[in-house]
Amino acid sequence: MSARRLWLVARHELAFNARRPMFYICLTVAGLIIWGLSSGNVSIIIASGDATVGGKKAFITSEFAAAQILAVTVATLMSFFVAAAAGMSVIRDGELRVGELLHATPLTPAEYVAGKFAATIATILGLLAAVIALMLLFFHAIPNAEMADTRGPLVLTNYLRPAAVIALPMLVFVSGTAFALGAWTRRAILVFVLPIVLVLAGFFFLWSWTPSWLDLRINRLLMMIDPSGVRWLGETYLKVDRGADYYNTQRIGFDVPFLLSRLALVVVGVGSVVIAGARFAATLRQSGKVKAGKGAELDTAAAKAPDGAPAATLTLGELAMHSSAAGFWHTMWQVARSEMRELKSQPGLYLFVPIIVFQIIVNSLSALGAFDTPLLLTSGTLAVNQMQFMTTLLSLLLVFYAVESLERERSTGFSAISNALPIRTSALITGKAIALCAIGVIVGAACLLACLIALLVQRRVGFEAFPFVLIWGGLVAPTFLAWAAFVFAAYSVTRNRFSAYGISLAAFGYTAYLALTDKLNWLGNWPLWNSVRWSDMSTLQFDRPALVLSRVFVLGLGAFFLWIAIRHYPRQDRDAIRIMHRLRPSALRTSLLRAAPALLVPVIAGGMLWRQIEKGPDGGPMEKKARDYWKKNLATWKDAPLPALASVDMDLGLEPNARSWTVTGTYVLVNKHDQKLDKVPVTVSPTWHDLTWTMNGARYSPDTASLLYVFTPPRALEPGDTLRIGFSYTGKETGATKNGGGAGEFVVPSGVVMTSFSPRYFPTVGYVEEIGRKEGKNDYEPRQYPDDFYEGVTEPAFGSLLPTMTRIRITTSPDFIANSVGEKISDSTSNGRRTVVWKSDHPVMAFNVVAGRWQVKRGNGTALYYDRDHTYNVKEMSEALDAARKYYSEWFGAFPWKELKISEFPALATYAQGFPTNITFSEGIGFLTKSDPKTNLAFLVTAHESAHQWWGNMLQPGKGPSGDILSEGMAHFSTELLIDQVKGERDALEFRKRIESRYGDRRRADAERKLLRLDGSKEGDETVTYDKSGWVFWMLMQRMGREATLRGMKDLIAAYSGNPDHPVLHDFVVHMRRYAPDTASYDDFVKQWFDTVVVPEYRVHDAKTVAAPGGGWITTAVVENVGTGRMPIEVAAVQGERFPSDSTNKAKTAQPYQAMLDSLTLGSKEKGSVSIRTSFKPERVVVDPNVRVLQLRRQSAEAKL
Amino acid sequence: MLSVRNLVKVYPGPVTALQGVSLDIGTGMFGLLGPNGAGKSTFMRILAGVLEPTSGSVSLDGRDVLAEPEALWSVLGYLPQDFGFFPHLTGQAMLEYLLELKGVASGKETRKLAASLLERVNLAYAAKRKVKEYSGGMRQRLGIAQAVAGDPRLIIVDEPTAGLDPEERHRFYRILAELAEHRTVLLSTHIVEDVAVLCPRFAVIRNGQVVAETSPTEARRMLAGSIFEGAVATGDLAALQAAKRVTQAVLVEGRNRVRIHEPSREAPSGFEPAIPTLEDAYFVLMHGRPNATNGTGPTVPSDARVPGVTPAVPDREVVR
Repeated sequence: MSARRLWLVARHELAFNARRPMFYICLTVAGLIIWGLSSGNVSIIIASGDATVGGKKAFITSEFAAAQILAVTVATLMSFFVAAAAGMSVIRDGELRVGELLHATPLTPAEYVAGKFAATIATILGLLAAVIALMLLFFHAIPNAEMADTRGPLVLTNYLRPAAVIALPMLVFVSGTAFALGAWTRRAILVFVLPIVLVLAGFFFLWSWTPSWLDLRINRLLMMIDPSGVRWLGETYLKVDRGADYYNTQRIGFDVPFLLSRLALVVVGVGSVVIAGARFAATLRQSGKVKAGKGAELDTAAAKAPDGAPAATLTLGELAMHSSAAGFWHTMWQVARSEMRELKSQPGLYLFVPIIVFQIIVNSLSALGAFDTPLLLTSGTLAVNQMQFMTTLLSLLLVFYAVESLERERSTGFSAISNALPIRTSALITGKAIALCAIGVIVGAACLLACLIALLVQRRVGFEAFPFVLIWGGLVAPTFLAWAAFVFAAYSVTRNRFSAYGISLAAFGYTAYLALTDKLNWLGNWPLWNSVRWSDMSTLQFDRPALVLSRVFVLGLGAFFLWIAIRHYPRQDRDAIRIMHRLRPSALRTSLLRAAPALLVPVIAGGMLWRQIEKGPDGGPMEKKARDYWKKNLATWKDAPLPALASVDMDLGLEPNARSWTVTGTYVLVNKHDQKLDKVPVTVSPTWHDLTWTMNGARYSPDTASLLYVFTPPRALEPGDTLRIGFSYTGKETGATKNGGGAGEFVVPSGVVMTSFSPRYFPTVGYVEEIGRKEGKNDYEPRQYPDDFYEGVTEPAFGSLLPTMTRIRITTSPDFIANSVGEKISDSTSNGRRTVVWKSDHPVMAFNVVAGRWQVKRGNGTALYYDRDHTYNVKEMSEALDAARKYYSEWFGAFPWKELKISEFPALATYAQGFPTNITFSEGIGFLTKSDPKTNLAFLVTAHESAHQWWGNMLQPGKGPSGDILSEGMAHFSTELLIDQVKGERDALEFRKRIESRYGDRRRADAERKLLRLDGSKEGDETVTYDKSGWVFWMLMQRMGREATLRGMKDLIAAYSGNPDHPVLHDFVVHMRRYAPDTASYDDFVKQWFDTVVVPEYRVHDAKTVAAPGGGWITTAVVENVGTGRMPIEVAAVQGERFPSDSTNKAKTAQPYQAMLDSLTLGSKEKGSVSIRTSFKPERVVVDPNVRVLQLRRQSAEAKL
Repeated sequence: MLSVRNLVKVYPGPVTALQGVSLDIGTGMFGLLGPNGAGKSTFMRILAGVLEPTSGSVSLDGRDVLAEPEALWSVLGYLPQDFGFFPHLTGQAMLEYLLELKGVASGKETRKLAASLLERVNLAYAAKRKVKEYSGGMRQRLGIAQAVAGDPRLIIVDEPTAGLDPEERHRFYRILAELAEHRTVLLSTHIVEDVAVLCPRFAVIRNGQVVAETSPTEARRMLAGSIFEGAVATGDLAALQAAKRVTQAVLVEGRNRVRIHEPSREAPSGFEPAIPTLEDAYFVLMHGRPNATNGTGPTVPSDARVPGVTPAVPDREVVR
């Protein structure tokens, strides 16, 4: 091998790469991303630290942050460009026909391949160096006061180590395999298969699929096979938050298996090149395999060519030919046929189909809903859930297929002839577009097949074609067509394949950036990311006009891009001087006029869409009203004392089909404070019209400050005085949201959800803090309460100051059932209107109205209102509802109302809300949960929401830190009790493990506060409120004893029901102490788990077992608490599986479960020894086998013997 | 009638490929003769509508084909100098595709016609073979087949005989001759024999300018009595080339047989009169100016009025 020749090839290739616009586009996009990170506009970095003012922040300049940035940027951006450059290298020489010239020199194939790949490596290094330089520039050199506390010291190795270990191996792998694919197959499309597959597999599976039940070994395997390193980094260091201090100061500890996997990537990449080079060398001077038939002679041209002119050949005149310009349709069809024939011979699609099928099946079967519960798949949810995957895949595929299709004539040399054929350019382009539609059809068919398989595997829900036709045909197809047209236009204008790649990928990347930063709206959201929600009950009813206009707009844009593509298609080589002439203002004006017809549809549709957004809740006028509300009223009314709502009397007329409603009603307010109240503020919605007021029965015109109305009674309200405020108005949903995606409350033709928690539908007494607040602009951190804030009378965290009596009369169309709080007094239909009256049979802290077309399943004092197609979990939910009513009444106090209901609403939002007697469930929770006897998920969510009747309604938590824990934490605790009661110990144990794992995954080590000071304002507070608190209450019950605990809780609810004082956790702690058999133990527990932040984490060392003299076995081990907290813990020597989940046959042959326990108490960083004697030979040592102590990484707290 | 007026083409560089070419080409075969880089392919590509000129006009029967290339393409048969086909199609399939696009035939007729055309260019035996397996000559023949398909009124062939063996070349001559009976065929070549065999009229192009437009007969006649042939030793050839206008020099049995153009019509010593050939005329037309190295030697003014030779457009500076 001649080093000089190798260097010549490499130098030439490097020079070519340096001239490519594609790389500069890649660098520009990378630069924008890095700038976005440095300015806080983009956030893909470590979710750690304390986001509050003055809180500790995770540095963007740490090694961990740099690793994350490089891993994601390389995988999602740079790999495409590198694959294109590497893979097209040999193909390009073939197209340019320089191959023969090069290989007729002393240049050997090995030198050629090595030289080209060396240049590729050099290009990669250059690109990587440029990206690091950009990071140094934006993160260190260019100041940014806003982000100053996220910037640490400049440590070069923070960037170099991740670049060397994480970024470089992936780039070598991608470039090597792409190079090999290109050299081996000479097919441009295949070159791009790998980065597309890697991005899709990463986004939709490898980087995000980490359920708590995943086997550790499988998890490790997935970490090793993920070439980007994102999964390894996340699972090893980022998933369980280690705190900003750790990330800011520590190095990444690359473990040996990970390093070996990186090395393997490099080996595969380089090895691919070596193999491809060997094949290249072997086939360079051959024409391929000579196929000899059954003893037939070699079929050579010379052997076959006739000796002279063939006899009896027709003259050209006798052929009687004539030509005419082939018509548009004929040409289009011929071109389409030719293109499809070419597609058939492309192996790319054959590779994609199984990959797509596999990916979708995995995605679908692992989709998660609320509380991380697996979703029950329906055709509609599948169609929408896979929409994002489909549009991403199709968009990326189309870039390469479309460009290569347009490039085909030029690269084969056929353009010299085809450009002079009597065919219309429009027919040529349209024919190619039609052939590309075949790709869409194939991908769509593969996705459909995968969805069908997923449904079959699930075996619960049947297949329906309509949702797929509607979503994929009606919504995805326009995206596909418009994007293809855009790519066509990019190629036609630039006349360069790589520029077209660059522009298209940059446009795609920019849209993704807007989506990630929540800056997309209907106008820019051409792929409809995050804007479509499927509801079996309400098919695309929400924002439907905007959805339709969006598709018309996108199709119109597609037509415009197609016009540009046709107009600028390189049919003719342009003259440079004439191009200058065409850029004259008059010439440009003429061009614009010519473009006008093509621009008409997108301009009109776009204008209408913009108008829809402006008229909607996120539009300019509404935002201004909200802003004015905030400006005018914040200072005056934020903490003003308010009267309590004593009663509500309301007539509500619902017109779901028209999305409108009318309300006439009265609030009776009572002053429950010790002071006079001379003004009463009431907040309304900007969507109301014809609003009139009365006060104490007389017409009244309150002062108004934007959306807030101020009532001034003639005489100030003394303590105990009442005030009657009457109101009447009509409301109508107008316009569209900014980017779709649903809403928590709505009036749509298929369902209604209205609550008293917001002024959207009903007047709200007081000032509403959320209105007009914008994150990053005028938001503020929550109030810091004094330590004794809970003393005295504490206002409620939500709902009315005191429980209220309600009477709500609802009229609607006869096919609707309308539910509200309390008891149904009457239900009649006349004159085509159904009228139902609900009256509270016991005071309620809030009210709601839900309407839909339902079936009803009644239980013991319970009722389940559900969509007729959602019967899957109805039985389980009804049983859970009955059990909840029965057992919660027994444990926490009698249920004071007559009936407990659950009402299902369309999945325009995914939540459940425990209103008194009328729990609302989104169809995606409970009803469409993939419940099975092992997981009891439908039971779980029903139990949790039902518990809120007690913890949230009968006991209204107080306002301030820790109040919400008495609602959500207690609901989780109650769920655990109910599961244990009804389903048994195994299921209760599984539930505890699940919420423990969820807590471990989602906690923020730096931001976590003690339970007594938790106010829900920080990231990570949610899992502490729900999961950790639920666990803590359960551990408290273990400490105090079940009977004493339940007695204490029952008395607590009784003490605070209807009480003007509302309890927080401090009150709970004080109250429960009276029931503790051992107050010292109780105090110790409270100190640790309520008043500090602790969470143990155990490890087992030196575990071994030996035969004991005299029979049996002695097992010894050292147990260490590497976490915090001090808890008594059980350690067991275990044989067999406690709850074998396999078939009966297997269970019979498996070892029976046996365990012998020892216990010890370990504080933070303490070790202790255990010695356990057993009569059986144990297989492993398990810490806390009965799942009694909340801990992190439970799977690591055992050791095999 | 194909009329070309003041055609100019300037490439970025700047490189002036055509310096105001004007020609009128009627029915029949017309040759465009010139060395490599003279501007022939640029001229052909502009006429075929695949390259935009910097200025000038081209009309076919009074219709401006630069403004409406689509109108030209429906009556054009074009064989470029450098072209390719879709490698994975068979020759038959490729030709059928082109016939369909040209509107020559459709449906079952296409297959029959394609087979006939392939027969005509002696490619019937390879009809079912993929184009990527074709030799250069076979591809050229396939290109010829598509160029002559239909009933084009204008056929433009750019260096068509490259890659063809002598027998194939003659077969191609017959095809073109047959076509040229009733239509305009524009043949661009640097092979003088092609013009001699096929073209009743031709133009010589040099450095983007047409330096002469004549017929082979006229071109030979203009040199009557001024061409002499003799033998010289290899060592004397250079001196002879410096002193005389050598039109051809070939090795025969180890000695150089040279032909010279002597405008004075006096035979130099050792030389005898010879019948002028088209190669002689081509050389004389191409090298009308004195030899640039020594300034000596006979000259032919660029607008010399050679009897029977239509004057070319005079040299002029192109505004850069």
